[in-house]
Amino acid sequence: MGMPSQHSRRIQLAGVLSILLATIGAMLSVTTGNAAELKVQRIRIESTPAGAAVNTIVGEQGVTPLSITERDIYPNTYPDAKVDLYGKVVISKSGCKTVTRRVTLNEIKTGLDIRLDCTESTPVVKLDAGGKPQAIRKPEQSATSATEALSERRLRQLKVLNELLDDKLISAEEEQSIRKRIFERLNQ
Amino acid sequence: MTPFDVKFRRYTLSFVFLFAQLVLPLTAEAIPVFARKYSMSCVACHSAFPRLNQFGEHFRDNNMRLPNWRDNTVQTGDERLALPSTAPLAIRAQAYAQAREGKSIDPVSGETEQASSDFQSPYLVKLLSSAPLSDHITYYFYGIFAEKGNNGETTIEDAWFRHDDLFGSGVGMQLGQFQISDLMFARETRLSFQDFMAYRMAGITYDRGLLFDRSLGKFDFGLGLVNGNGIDENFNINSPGYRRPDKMFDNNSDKSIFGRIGTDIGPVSLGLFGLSGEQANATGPAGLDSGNRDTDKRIVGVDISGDVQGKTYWYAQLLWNSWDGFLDKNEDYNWWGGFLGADYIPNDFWAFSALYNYADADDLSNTDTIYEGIDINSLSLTASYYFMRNVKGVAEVNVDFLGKDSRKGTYYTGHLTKEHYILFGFDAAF
Repeated sequence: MGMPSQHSRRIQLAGVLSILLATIGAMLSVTTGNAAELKVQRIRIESTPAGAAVNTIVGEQGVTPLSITERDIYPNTYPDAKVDLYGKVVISKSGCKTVTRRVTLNEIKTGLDIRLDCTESTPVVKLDAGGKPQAIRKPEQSATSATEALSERRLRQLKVLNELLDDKLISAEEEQSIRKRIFERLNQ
Repeated sequence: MTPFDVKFRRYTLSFVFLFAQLVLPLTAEAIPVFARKYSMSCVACHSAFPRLNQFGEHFRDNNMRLPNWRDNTVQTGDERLALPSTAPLAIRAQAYAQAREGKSIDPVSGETEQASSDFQSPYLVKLLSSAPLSDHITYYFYGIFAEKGNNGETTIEDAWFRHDDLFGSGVGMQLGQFQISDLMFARETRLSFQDFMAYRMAGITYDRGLLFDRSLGKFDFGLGLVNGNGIDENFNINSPGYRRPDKMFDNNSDKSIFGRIGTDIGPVSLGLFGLSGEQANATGPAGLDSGNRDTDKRIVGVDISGDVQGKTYWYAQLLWNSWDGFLDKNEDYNWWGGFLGADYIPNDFWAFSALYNYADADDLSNTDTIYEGIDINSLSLTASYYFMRNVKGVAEVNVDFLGKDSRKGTYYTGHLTKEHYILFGFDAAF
């Protein structure tokens, strides 16, 4: 191979400069242009009735109507024990059935509009890790023999306890321990 | 118009075209196969594509399957048939333009070719497919249509079946073609263009074999067997007679055995890797040919990684290699290498990465073979801008800290040119 000619050196230089300029230009363009137009994906959540608490794997988000970000349901890190809540929203309101829902791609675009079932007699249902309905015990079912003796106050305590469990704000062990204390007081 | 003018105009037009591609807003929206199947955003599994986040790793470890995997299967009425309702296919494509200080030097003749700039477009076109086939069996596959200029060649790299609970024992078993190094850090999910070079040099990338894994308490165990000769070998079986149709991939009965024990210590993941196997000796001019002797090869590795609030990921790998009788049958050759890297992902648009590669040819130095070239000492700095979750622009600079070697022996071996480069381009999955 002979020595590169002056022309070919100029061509090489032009090629390298083109790539350098394009790199710098591309970085400048995205920082000053497109970036300003882009928005982080947000999910609108509404409920009927409004004012329901919204929880995700990262914690309480506020009450409906509200908007949360994708990262509020898909955080990069989370406690391993909470993995069943990943990608889901939990919507709860006193006196209504708690809804746990896996958010789909389409719902991220259209938003979620959840109609809460606030009929007292409706059985409480929660979703398992796969999003399938899973019946759980209602306080009055798990204490059939004691139901008649429960005061209004104790019933409210058990309902709140159930909501706390549904919202994963307490563990199953904690729920059992508190439930036991409530019944112990009842029998005293 | 002189030839120079023509070439200069071509460069200028190419530059304008590439620049315009980056400046113009991209509106394409596409979702790869898992996002499609489970109707989930890419961010569910990636902190920044292709780097996996905590759930992405959980998903991978659970056989790339969510509990509702049957939702998108064809309702045939047969419980024992779960066909994906759409073909579970995805494409990954990369295109780059690169300015590079590097030459192609024939180790024997010294004949040299050089290009200081290159449009590596396409750099990679890959077709991927994966789906759960049963409650416990998943397959994963990808084929490359073009990589690093190899147009017209189709290469199958990952291709395996995995059962995640063999005989109800909790043991997972993977059979097929995979990377041994995936037990440590997956090359396919790195953010940099630059590779984890120590894995390539140690020859622990793609191979065919069997891999078992099991978690016990705080420890993860992986144990595998592979042919030990990569994925290229393919021999006709002709000993039973004439024109027998089958072929063998391995050229001897020896297998390489490897394993890893991993655990988490607080926020840090730590792993110890080991491999014992055989490889053909190197012979011929500059060590370019494979000989007929099977030589022992042993590797010990340590890997360590962690993350800070899902925004900064760091990782490090060390590999000690012992190649007995690899060149001279009475000599043992030891060398070591590794890499150290970090990814910083401040928001949904940007990711910044640093990757430091180091390897010392050690006993293979001054052997007048291509294995002198195991030496590397380079730092790659990468900025990735995400136009969409699945489409990013990449700019990367690689700085080579090694000095340039001069020819010392009969052949043209060693670090004869520097490896600086700067590149930019696109990386997309859809």
